[in-house]
Amino acid sequence: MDIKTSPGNIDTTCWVTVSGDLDLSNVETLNEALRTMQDAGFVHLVVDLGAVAFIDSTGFGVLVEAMRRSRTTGGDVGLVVKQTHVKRVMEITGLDRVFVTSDTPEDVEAQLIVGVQADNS
Amino acid sequence: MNEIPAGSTTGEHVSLTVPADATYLTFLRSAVAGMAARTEAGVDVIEDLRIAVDEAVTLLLNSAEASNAVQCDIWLADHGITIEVSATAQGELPGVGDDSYSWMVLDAILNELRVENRGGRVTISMQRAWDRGSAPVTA
Repeated sequence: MDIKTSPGNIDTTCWVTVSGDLDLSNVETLNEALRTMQDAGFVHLVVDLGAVAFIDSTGFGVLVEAMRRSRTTGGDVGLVVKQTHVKRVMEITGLDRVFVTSDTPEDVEAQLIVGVQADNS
Repeated sequence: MNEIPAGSTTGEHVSLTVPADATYLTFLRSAVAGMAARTEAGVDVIEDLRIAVDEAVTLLLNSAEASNAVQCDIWLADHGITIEVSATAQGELPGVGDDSYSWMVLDAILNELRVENRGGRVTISMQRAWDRGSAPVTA
């Protein structure tokens, strides 16, 4: 698994790009990366799973934990999801209704910002 | 829901024993995919089987003794596959039979799913079948 982080289009957002296999053996690495970005002040995280070859329930568990942390600070976590098998697991577990998802990080970021603005209005 | 008919095994059976260590998950996923690729299973079924063995072994690892090993047996049938994973566990397996993400996924993608605990040796048995000479059946 490889993780790359970069600033988003607005200063409260961070893009986290994950590639490779994500399972019990390395989920803690992702957890630490997400927590580091949140501790650095990024309230919105856009996690790009587009290059993930495999993800299981432990991987999604870490993403749910990160989402809960972000929501306590008025932010959120959104996912870039392209692969059919990843979408299917999200549908089975109901996580497709929990996370903001789209095909591109730009679209996920835009949805996160709109969602927060709607919550604050 | 499809089931693998009794006695329909092709006779192909692989048995693997790996350390109770999560770094071996990728090895087990590859082994299951490799066996399934010897059948008429489509790519979607093979992906489901990779997920199934990963989720089942992860459940075992959450309760397996650190010095223990995980055994994985794979049987091919004419139109399906049976996978059993087992390990010596400490107490009840967390996440079995409840609304955990892993159990929801296993329950949805398999035709048959069973957990047995015999004297602390926990075995998770899984079956997935597909139609003869046609697109795989969605579980």
